[in-house]
Amino acid sequence: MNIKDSLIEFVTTELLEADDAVSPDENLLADGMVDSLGMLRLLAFIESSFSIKVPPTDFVVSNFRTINILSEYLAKSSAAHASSSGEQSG
Amino acid sequence: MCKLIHEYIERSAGNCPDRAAICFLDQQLTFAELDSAAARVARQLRDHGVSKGDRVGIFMDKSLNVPVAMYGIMKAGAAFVPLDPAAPAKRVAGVISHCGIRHILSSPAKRRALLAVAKFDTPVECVFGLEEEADWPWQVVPWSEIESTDSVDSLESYGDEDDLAYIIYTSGSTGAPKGIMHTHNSGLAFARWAATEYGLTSADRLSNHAPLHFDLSIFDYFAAAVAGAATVIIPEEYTRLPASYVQLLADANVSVLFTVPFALVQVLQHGAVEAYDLGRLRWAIFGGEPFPPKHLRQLMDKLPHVQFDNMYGPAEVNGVSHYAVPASFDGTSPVPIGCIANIAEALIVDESGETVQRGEPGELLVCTPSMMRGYWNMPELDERAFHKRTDGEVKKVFYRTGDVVVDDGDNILRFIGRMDRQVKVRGYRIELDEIERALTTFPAVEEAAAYALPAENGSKDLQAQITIKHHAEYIEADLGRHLKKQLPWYAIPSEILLAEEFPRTTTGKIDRRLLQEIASQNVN
Repeated sequence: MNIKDSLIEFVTTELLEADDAVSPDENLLADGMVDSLGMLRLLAFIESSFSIKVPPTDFVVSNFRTINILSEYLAKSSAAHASSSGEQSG
Repeated sequence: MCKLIHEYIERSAGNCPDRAAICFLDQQLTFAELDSAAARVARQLRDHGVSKGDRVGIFMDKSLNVPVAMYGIMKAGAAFVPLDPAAPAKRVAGVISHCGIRHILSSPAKRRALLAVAKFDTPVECVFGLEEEADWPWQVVPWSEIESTDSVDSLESYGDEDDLAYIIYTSGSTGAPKGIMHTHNSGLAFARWAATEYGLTSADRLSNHAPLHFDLSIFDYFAAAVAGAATVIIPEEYTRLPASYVQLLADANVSVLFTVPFALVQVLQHGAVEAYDLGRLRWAIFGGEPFPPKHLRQLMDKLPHVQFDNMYGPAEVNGVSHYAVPASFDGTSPVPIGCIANIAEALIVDESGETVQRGEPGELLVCTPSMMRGYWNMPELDERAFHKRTDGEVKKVFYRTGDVVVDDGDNILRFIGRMDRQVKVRGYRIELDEIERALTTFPAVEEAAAYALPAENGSKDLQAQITIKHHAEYIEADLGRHLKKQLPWYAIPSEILLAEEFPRTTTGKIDRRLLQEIASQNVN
């Protein structure tokens, strides 16, 4: 399963406990969606499932508003992480 | 001195029309703009039949239109009633009906939520801020029509300081929310005291973190209005992610913030405080529930230039005491609630109503001009809430806070606990009885017991246990859906355990204290 699909599954079943899957363009931070403790659970899920460390300054509205935006951010930061660790080993 | 809350906005609109009154991300209203927008709302409300003493609902997400609605409603001579935009439709409809609300100010984003409210029988006649559609059961007036209103000059002003200004609904132990009525006088008594106590000036910028239906917002708006200061609205999205909240505080040059300890513990743990310049911040005020001392000390170390302060006061009396935490705070003792305001008088009494010896714990009673008039249409609750006392020749009315406090010396009070079953979760007041009622209205549930446990995040965690009726079919997900229709999100227990039977007290009641003790041992 790719990152986006696992995010959709986690948010739908664990955070929203909803019957219908959350849409990747839906605002997760809107009223009645994911609260601040839910966002912390999402952060923990991301860090443990994808081995990505999200720096505190990246845990912000502009990266976490929707699943589409979040997947893009994660793709970028895992690419950056891969290249920087590559540099270290080389 | 202004006698009505909105007169402070009118005064600033005259004295300093171009100064910022309200900020919301990159949008802003000057005092002149806020005042004339509110006048247009007032004109429309009057033209649609609103008169003195009416209650008008505000049902919208945070935006510039929230303060426009508040001041517009007060200018029309009516009282505003914040309706929780995230509450279940049934609860919103219940408040609307109980308060006799015929007019609501809303926004197109609330269309779906209002359609759900419309399924219930309510006295609503007219909703402002929606676009016209065929299927509304009410008259609707779009914002564009409000904005093009003229002839606001002819708006005659009426009202006096003892008129109702706003009603805030909060959890009630009978299962129905209760409406706390404040007048212009009681709201301003608090706002003036707070503005003086914190030394607010027109150069200050106060943040608004709490939603309007949470009484912390009264400080953010009205203390700012009294001081001629700006209010910076923190959008709901930014309250969910602490680093975004801190970044916004920095970008918007906020100088005074007021929020719940839960939000500040999040700032400490995930706020990236070091990455942003909070140099303008001078007061970080918290209230609503106790701040875990260890976390407070850590946050003070990260922000040594900021004065942290604990403000205390149930919504019935507004803030009535505060305690500026000294730089030498040890990080282990509980944070006091401070000395009672100089405008108020306090008594600490035992169960028979006698004043306790200094240093002995007792219930805090407060007599203050910032006190509510009473609960909307619930005389039996007023009877219990107010304590009348004759002091020589003078008759005084005290509010029974239900909070047990102790005077640690020098009139500095410390909060110890509650007399009743009210708990605070992230600052929100919840009656455990209300949760139990919601659980037992689910068909399969026989009995229910709810209790709160201390949580690592600096707030409380709600839990409940239920017993199931003999032969009844119990589906957990259905109970979850049932609760979401009955209760606001913060009142829904995080865990509901099935019990075979409950431990009983000698009088046959559920032994909730024992249940809570066992549960908290399991946590530790």
